[in-house]
Amino acid sequence: MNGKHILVAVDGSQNSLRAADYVGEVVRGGPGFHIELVAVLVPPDRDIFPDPALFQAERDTRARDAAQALETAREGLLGKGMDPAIIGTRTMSCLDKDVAGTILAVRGECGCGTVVVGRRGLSKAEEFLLGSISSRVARHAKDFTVWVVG
Amino acid sequence: MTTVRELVERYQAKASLQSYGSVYQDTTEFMNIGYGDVIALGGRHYLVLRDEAERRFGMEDPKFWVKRCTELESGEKRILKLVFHERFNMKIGDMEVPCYRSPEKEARILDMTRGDPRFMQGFSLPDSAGNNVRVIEVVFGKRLDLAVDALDCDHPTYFAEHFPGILANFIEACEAIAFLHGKGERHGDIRRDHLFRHYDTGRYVWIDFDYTFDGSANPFGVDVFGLGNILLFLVGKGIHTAQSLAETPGGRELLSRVAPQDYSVMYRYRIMNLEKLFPYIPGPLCRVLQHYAVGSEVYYESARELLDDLRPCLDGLRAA
Repeated sequence: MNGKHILVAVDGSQNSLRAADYVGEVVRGGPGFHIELVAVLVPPDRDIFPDPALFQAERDTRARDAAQALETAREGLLGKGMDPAIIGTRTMSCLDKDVAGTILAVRGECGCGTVVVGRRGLSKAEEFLLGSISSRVARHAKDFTVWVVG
Repeated sequence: MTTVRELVERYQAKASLQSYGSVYQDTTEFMNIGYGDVIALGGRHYLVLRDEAERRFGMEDPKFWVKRCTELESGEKRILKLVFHERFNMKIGDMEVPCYRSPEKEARILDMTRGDPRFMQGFSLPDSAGNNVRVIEVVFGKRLDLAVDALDCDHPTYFAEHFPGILANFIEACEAIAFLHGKGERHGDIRRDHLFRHYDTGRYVWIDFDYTFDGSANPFGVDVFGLGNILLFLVGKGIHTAQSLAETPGGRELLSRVAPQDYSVMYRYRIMNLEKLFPYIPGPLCRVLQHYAVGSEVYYESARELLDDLRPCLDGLRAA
């Protein structure tokens, strides 16, 4: 597992952009790095959209948001003078309603030795009910490194 | 061919139903459908007896889209759940979770659990306007919380004599929820009054699966939280709060031992660490409950994780 192959999870939020920015600061100019920016595309729950048109519209919005999140993070890294050749981007559909699990699955595919996630700073109650992606990624980490950027 | 009038005359409620009202094939305007009306659906006729209601916090909350009926062809009682798309915030402690009522989800779970005695039974079919109507068999049982409340004994007696059997049944109920999660489904509204004890079999039966919400980071978190709440009630033979303990001198003495980290992470007045109140409750069982407490650093993510910890507790109780 190559620790210089870094997966950065981005979703357009400020904390995920901070995480990408942090990676840019650490990696800038260093040899042998590859950064894979990954956006997990979470489809809306079909059950909450009785109208199929509204469901499709929400899907489209989320797909556009994911693409925009990747582009924003990529531009941020390029703005730090990073070589475009070492930056990859990919969008992955969420597996089994589990964002953290999807990030970990992509990590396995990419062979990334480092995973970087932003932290939202949830309260305990929020973490219990809504779940914390960063906590779940860290909890399931084995044979790779997790950076949680707060 | 039997007419609706003949069917009504054969099975009309004992109350004076002199004539039946309208026959509805389209249930869109469910507020207009009331006592004495007949819903015709899938070649069957359902005589409406009343709207169902939930009694919560001492208030009667009518559910106008849920009709208690007699199926005229069989004379059996049925509950018809009509289409009512609703969005509201489910309040859990200080948090509000956007929640939705989905007939399609409930219909899917009815199909998925057909013949499984751990779930209410029924089927769905469209009315003439395409509304997804669920036809539910009435659960022949009593709300579990009321059944536990009705046990007239002190906590030590309850815990020694009744609780092991209750826990065995509750574990089976948790298995049922884990089964749903394994299929990518959620119950969505796990509460004490949505779990019934069947009069004949004593088994626990889940009802009402139409709530859903949009959650991807922790898709089963609300269900897992609900299971913990019921478990707390069952272990404690009720919910014990700072307020209820403060009412008596003995309670105040117990309360003095309760630390901030012993309270529920969601409801800051509920005591999760029951070991402080009932020292004979075995440690492993108390530790399960403490996963729901402020002091916990790790929360259950799935019903499976809860079950993995809960089963040895039952083994321990049986061996004791």
